Amino acid sequence: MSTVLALIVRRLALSGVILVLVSGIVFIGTEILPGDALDATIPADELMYYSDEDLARMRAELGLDKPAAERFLNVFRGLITFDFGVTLMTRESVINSIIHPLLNSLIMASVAIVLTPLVAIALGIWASLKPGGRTDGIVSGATLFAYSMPDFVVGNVFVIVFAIWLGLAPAVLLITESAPWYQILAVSILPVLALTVSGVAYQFRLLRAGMVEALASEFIERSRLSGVPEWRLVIIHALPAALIPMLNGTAQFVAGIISGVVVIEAVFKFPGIGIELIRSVSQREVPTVQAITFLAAFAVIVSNLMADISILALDPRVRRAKNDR
Amino acid sequence: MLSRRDFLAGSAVIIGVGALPKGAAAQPITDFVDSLIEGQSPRQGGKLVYGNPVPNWALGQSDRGQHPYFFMDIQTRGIWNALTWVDEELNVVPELAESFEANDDATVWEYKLREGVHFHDGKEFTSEDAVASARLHAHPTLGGVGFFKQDIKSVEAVGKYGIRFHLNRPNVEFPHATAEYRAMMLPARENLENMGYDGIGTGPFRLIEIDNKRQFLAERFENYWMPNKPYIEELQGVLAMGQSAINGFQSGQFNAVYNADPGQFDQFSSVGGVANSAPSGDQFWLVLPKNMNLPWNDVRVRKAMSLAIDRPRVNRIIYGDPEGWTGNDTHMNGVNKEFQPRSVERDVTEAKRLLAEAGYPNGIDLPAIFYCPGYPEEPRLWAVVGESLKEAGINLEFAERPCDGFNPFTMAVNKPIGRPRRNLVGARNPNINLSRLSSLNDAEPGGWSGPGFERYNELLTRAAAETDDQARLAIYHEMQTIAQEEVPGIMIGGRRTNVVHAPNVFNLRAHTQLWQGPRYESVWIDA
Repeated sequence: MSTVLALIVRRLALSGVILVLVSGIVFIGTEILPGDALDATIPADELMYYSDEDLARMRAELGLDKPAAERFLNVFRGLITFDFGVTLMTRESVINSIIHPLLNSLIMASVAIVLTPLVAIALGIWASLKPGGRTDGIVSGATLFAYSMPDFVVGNVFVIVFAIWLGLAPAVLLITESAPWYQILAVSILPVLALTVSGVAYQFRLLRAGMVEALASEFIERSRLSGVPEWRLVIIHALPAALIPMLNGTAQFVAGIISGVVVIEAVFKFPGIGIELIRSVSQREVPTVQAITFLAAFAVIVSNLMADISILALDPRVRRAKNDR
Repeated sequence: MLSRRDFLAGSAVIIGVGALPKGAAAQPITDFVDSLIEGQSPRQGGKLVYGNPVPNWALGQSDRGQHPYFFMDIQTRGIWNALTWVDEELNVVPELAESFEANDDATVWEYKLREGVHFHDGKEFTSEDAVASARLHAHPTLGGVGFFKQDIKSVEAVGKYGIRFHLNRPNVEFPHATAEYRAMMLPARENLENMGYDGIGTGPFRLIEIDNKRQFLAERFENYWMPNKPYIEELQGVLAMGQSAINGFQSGQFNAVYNADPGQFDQFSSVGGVANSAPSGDQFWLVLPKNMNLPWNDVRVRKAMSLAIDRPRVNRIIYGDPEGWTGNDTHMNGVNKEFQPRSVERDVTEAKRLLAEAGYPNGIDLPAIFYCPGYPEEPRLWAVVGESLKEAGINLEFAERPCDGFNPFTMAVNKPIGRPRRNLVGARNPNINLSRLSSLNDAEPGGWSGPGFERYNELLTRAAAETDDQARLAIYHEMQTIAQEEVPGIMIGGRRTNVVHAPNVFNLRAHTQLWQGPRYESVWIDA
């Protein structure tokens, strides 16, 4: 147990280091390169509209007249305490302006993150029961096709088919940004499904491969010969072993879900952080972009940490390997 | 469809704008509403859900949508009323006022208020509220009604149901200003800064909730000052940019769409939508700052631009309205009977000659002009305009920016004129229209100066005080001639306000002045 605890502590420390690095990259990306934040927000052909006094004033407002190290410390302190300052345009608190979209996206993404591996597992088990068979072929082909479709295509197809043709879900999300979580959940059906489509394929393939290998292994054969029911062999014996590579895929899916969320939210006009990010980038709201980028990185780090802990819990070989060292 | 000839010839279908005779009490608004439902059997109940593809450009100023300045869209008359209303013929009529009259030189306007009007919180609307509202709208920093700021010197109550405006200058057309979409009557508050943020008005619907980035919901106000109105129980408005408008309508979530993309009319009618268009609507004005070292400081370049733009092509391709009216490089609208068209619609040869004379024989690259897609067809419209300019050797990029935050973005530099951009211009009375190119407006003339500008300003002041219609018309024509000669800015022209609705929705009408309609009192839904 102390070994497991040591592993978790090591992971946490590593996550902390990564967060510091992310803060640095966010700072560099938005405030230093390829010019300072002001240069990043004002294209060359628009500079003619700014007098030297305008630029000096704006630099002072953004704190760009201070040394980089001092600015980084301020940015870092703000980021790790979740104090993201105020928006450039309306001077309102950044965290207040993004908290509802953030929670809405978390709700949608959480459902997708839970649903995607479950669907992948179900399909993976089904397809692996007769590898190379018709079911395997159909499921593999369908998931590959879905995986190759861009998110915005999937989203629009879902709106047309499920909302407009079949009337099973709303085409337009008639909901406010600050609606209660259960209302957000109720309108999230199509966006969640669209997100799930992109995540299922890769995780399905990992699980299927793992299941096929596990089901063909000697210990499974021995158990089968000794009369263990097939369902027990699949669920209790083969699945845990096959899950481990899939969980790595799940962690990657979680990391990639940020970009998926942005696209899906734009298609469905979902009141989430993706739309807010698009809005902030187009308005050059640097504090908001910094906040969202940092929070996204934070979410990825946390989810990877949870995936690592899950693998630790599931795979005795990892725990034993650490003990043997 | 109305032809351009009809617009120009002043036929019966053309609607004109003019000042009211001094001291007249115009036709009550209730007559208009009653005339729409005459012969119908309106049903009580139902919910009107409309999609609006026009983004909320006020988001850049505030997320507090309960205030009429920052509401989800400019269809503020669902929740609020103003002192006057401009009807579909562009005549100004009383709304919360019962009548209005001016003194001899139109520098003082007195409005008698309608009695028995209540706010949504039950408080009676009196002169105290009218005066406070007017002071707010005219306030130099807090106010949001530009025409109030430029015209009003002071406001005072006249008894419990009267208000008197003292103006900076004579203005025979002043009642048009009190009909503006932000000039809503609000409950008085001690502190002007706090007024308007409670979402309380006197309109036919009471605001329940609003997220001005997305939608609002309102319910019928049972104590509305027009008895037994409105008919519908709930009103919901939803911002529906991109494909959302047509998707929402096709899926049955919307039973109306305001400001639909005209290119999608066929799609709407394929699912039973009924489209109706007003005779005109908002137009697109290009602000050309002339206070910087830019090529269009030379009037020949501006004239070349105006001559090169193929406005009929815009009407044909974007609006499917080849005979529609085209802009005359002033803020006048084709529906104004005082409208004076440009003497030449398009002449690419002359445009090239002017450019060569100005020192650009091989064409010219101009700085980008910014726009936000306030209307869904705008990206296509500017593409057509850009292509037609290229035919004269003028390379001009129309750069898109998001609508929320567009105003702060354009006004962040080169104050008070701002960046080169397009402004949306509503169809108004001539005095307001033409004042936008005058010294009363810091931005839109773009720094126009010189003898022509001075003469223009003189004429504006004379017109505002002129009570003789023919004399005033002559002044307006001379002003337009000056502007067409000096081209301080460019007007495209051609758009018509439209409304698409489900066939079971009645009396939902498009209004040339987008913000004056629809009037909901006559709207009903047949279940």
